[in-house]
Amino acid sequence: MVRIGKPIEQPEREVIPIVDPVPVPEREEPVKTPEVEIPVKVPA
Amino acid sequence: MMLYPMGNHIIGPHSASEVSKQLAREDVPMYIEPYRSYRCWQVLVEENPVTLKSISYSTKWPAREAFHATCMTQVYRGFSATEPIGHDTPSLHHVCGIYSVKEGVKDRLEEWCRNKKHVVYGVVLVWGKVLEFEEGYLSEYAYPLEFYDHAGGWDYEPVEVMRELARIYGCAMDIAS
Repeated sequence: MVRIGKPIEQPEREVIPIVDPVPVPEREEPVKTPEVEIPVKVPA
Repeated sequence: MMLYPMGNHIIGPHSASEVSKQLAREDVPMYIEPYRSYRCWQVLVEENPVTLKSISYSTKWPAREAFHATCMTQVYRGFSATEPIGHDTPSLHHVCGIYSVKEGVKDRLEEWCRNKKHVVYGVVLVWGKVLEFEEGYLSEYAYPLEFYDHAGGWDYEPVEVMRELARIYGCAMDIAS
């Protein structure tokens, strides 16, 4: 074990993070659909 | 603060000793941000995906899940990690928990991982029940925040492995710091 010295006076803390320190599970990138040009209707 | 009558008599579901423990807990300071400290890991480079492992024990650190402390001395004495364990971790009396060091002594990590292969250094966030020592912490939960260096012999390009670790664990990588 690594040496961490002596405990300080009153060493105990309760740490309850308001933001979760763990990153969210990795998600696959959504597949991008190619842009399709809508043909412009030309009056006959 | 809730007030309880003191004495040795039973009050409701609590004995006097349980009441005094509760009162003691109310003196424990609370924080809403995890502590930032330093530690090192071994990388299991043959696993797919590559995985962090504790230096002193064969415990793996799961990706994108908080790592929770277990008293390994009791596990190694024949208790299963899934069985009830005799005390909460970390414990000041037993000096068990997740070890990490303060920034001022982070060079000391070199001693911890001496003669080990595939070692990475990183910043780690610690939270839950945290016991503060002069030069480090024992904590209940931890998760790596950033990888900043490597040490020991490597069978693969260490920077490439660190880059893959950072992706898998959702951490930063700052090799220059």
